[in-house]
Amino acid sequence: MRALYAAASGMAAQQNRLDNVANNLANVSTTGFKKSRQAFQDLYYQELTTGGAGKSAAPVQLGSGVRTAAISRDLTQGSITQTGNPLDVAISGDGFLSLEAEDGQIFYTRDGSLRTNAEGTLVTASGVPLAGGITVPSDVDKVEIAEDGTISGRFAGQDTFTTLGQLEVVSFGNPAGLEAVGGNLYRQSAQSGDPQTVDTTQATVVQGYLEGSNVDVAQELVEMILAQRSFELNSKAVQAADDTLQIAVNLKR
Amino acid sequence: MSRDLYSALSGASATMTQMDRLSNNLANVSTSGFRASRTRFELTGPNPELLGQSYAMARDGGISEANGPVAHDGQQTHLALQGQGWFALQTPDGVRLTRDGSFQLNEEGQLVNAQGHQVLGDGGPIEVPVGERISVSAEGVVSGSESGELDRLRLVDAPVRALGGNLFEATAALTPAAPHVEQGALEGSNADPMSTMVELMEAGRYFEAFQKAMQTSDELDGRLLEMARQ
Repeated sequence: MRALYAAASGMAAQQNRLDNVANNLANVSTTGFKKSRQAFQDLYYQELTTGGAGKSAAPVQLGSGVRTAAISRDLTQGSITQTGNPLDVAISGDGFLSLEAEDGQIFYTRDGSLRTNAEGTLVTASGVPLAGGITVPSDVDKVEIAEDGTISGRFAGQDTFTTLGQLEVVSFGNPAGLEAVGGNLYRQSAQSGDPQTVDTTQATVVQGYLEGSNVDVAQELVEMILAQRSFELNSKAVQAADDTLQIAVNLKR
Repeated sequence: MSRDLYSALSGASATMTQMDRLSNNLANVSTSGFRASRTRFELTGPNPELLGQSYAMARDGGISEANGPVAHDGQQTHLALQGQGWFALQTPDGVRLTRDGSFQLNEEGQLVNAQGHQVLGDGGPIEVPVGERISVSAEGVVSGSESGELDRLRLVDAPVRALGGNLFEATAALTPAAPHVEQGALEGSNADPMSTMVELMEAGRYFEAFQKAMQTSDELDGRLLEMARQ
């Protein structure tokens, strides 16, 4: 009874889809969050040989259900909102901020809510320092971050700005292939390709703003309804297959 | 034994095949570019005109060629087709066809599908210089944001056989096709949940009817044997 297995695979796939929708919805307020979407594929087709007359006819092909083929990240820009905090930066365009953790691991993020730690080093909200290690001395009273990521500071009692460092903004051949590690961080993977430095035509850094999540609540709710109803449809197919089996069993009284 | 028992049996087993197929269609209502397959019932038997010697057989009825619904998601590498035609992909086993346009760029800037097979243009796999955005016209011309026209999608048509993984194999020579290409959108499954559910209900009832026919035939045989015993 292939119908049972095909319908069960459909139920599992829709369940998976619902899990993903729930994760997107949970991150509707996460700075720099990028939603992900499920892609489905049909499973392989089995060829039944039909006996009897007409053996020369085309073989009967029966599909065996569905599976989740990929969960791909949708990297469209999230809305950019003003925060007024001079250490908040949003990236407009294709690019990621490079970070270097204390253990030397390189991470990438779209979450530019930066702050200084006890040593005056610029770190992300989760405490990971920026690549290259940029320090803002305590006697700097104004920080300016240019479009190209140059950070300059004005020391107390002075009129001119001194360059403190440079935000490293990079892009990838296939940014959707980056591996999400949680905490708004991504890691390079075999699919993503190597990081490449971007210029201001590709991505600009906007000071005093943060990029919101790109999750669209209405769209997610539609997706949720679709997942739930499709799950229901498949459960009905399981029932129909079960009813049929019952009828077959009842043949012999 | 009466032969109509076997006629009813052939009907029941053909209905079972139909249910398997409908179930697969339903399982794939969310599969991008999925093509619903159909069952064709055929009257067979050594002497199909004679009562009690005709049998039903479930055959492959081909795939539905209806367009699936197009859902916009704004992703530049997602392409939807409307109208007759297929995308051509380069796979290790040769050229395969698909209607699933959920493509992405790989690390080398090639346009690939979810399994990593390259999307073919008229000049081979489509390659986009790294960092450029692409725009795809309704005719399938792919252009880069800086380098201009890159290639044209190879859009083809042919009778096909499903392979799974949203891939199809052409069973005859490929001919050029000109479907409408929509960028930033995906074509959904063309399995219609409503009509598939109705067909599933119908199949269930047919199966029940065949069961009754088989039971009646069995009853008649039983009576006959009883009469012979007297």
